Amino acid sequence: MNELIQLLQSIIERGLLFGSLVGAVYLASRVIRLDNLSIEGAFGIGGAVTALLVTKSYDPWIALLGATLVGGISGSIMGLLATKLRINPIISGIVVTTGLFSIILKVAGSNLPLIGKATIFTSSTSLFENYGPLIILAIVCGFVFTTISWFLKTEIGFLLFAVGENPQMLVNVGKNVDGYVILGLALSNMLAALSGALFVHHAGYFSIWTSVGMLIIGLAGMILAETIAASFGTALLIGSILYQIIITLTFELQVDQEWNKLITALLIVVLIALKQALPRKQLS
Amino acid sequence: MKKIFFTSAALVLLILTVIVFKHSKKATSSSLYTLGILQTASHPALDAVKTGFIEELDMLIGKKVEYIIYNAQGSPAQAQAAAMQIHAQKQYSAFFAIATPAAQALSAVEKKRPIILAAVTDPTALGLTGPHNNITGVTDMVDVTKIIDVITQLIPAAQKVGIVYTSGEINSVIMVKKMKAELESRGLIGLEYGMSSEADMYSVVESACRNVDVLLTPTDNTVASSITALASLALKYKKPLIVTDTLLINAGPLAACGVDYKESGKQAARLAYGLLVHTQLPHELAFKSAESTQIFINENSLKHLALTIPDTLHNEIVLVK
Repeated sequence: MNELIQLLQSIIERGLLFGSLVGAVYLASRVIRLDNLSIEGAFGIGGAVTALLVTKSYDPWIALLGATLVGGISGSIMGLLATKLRINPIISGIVVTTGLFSIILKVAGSNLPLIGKATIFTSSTSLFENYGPLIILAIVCGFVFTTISWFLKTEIGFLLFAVGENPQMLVNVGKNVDGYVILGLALSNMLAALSGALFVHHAGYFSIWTSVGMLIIGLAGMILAETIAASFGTALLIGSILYQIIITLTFELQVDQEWNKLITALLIVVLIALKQALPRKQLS
Repeated sequence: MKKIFFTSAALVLLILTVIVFKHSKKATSSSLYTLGILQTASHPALDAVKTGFIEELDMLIGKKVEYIIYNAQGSPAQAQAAAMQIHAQKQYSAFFAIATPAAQALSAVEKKRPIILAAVTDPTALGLTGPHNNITGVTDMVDVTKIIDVITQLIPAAQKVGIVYTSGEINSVIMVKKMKAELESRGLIGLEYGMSSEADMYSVVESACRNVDVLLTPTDNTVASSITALASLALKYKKPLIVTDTLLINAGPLAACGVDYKESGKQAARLAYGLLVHTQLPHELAFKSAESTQIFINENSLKHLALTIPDTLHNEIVLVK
């Protein structure tokens, strides 16, 4: 029983770690309706900056904040490329991720262990033992998601939705569409960088290879979240946790390990098909 | 729609049944030790480590070990997920981590039970060594001096050496620095050719071939994956290719000298034997290195490049077809 609790705890922890990433994908794909392919780069630079700052003995929370801000800068750059230079958003995203790969290598190298340095989780483990990281993650995610949910309900937030749904309306009202696109992308990459930084604090080291495949985790988490609710909020965190449950199930099955990725893909399909079938059943 | 619902529900039930069945099977197994193996990715060198480990340990302990294998398929995030999962299970006596991402992921979560690692070039740089920690293992650091010796003796006319590696792999970066320093101390010019992924391989290697006399690679995952293409490119441009992973010699490089990955696995198994049977503590077992003293030379490539083996090296050479 104890094993099961520990397993569930680790699933929820990882779900919360990638929750911000799912939020980042949501902000890009559902709010401003742009494909943000720079999310992997932002995840990486967030991890790199936080690793660099932590190893230089900065306060771990400052390191987290620094990483988030740098992520925001990367999003702004992508926004500028897409709006001012009129470069196709998909290419803008690819360009930013590609460029960031080199910058990440210069900032943190390919692998940077946080040996003996304090992370945002270090003090919590002495207070709450094994549940420390879970509690800190819940607080951070709770704070971030509540703030952004509130923000999306303000006038600026409403205009961000308008960028995606009805950009013409913004022009009619005399607002600068480009500015809102840049804001949206900056916010999206800030969340992605936050997720990358949280991952580094949790794992105890930074590796440039971690960011490869993050877009899939974000997208899958978002689609799974939408089977619950379509708005920005706890549904996204639950979607992320659901994806982690699928990964865990894949490992638990313990079949020939080369089938792992196919099993993960099938489980995602099953889960979505299940959810899709339910409401229709109620209607009929 | 009802059909979809019921098929999906049936699938989920099937999956849960399989999991429960597998768990109950584990409870009644007759093995003395359960070992969790976390392999970073599927590729020949790491597969060889795992095979060598299992073969040697089975031979030493006599098939009383149950191995449960997790493969992170190249993703550090997946490695972390697997590490957290196996850490949560009490059935494991010890763990075996193959390659850096697996080693880092496991060592971050598991602080009590022993971890044996393999195919990690510099554990100290990664913070994995320490006087009282639970980690021991086999490194794949090579004797760079010896490798450069091989180059100077096999190809005396060589002036420029191009080192092909993956810029994102920490193991390679560490080794490349050492190789460059050694080359420079011998008066040779070492040029770095760093690719970011397998997709870049062709362009990077062609560029290297046009500029250097010899190609050299450290123990690098991308190089290992793309060795067939790399070796044939080198032969096409008539450039000798020296690799540091002895497993790759059949794919066509001129010479391989450095690490025998299957032997890595076997050495790790001997460490595991000490841990499990003699109940030694991890910090009592020193890190071993998996060097192979032999120099393997591919006969076909040797003929194609019209080189001869100098007398000084004759004793150490093993010819391979």
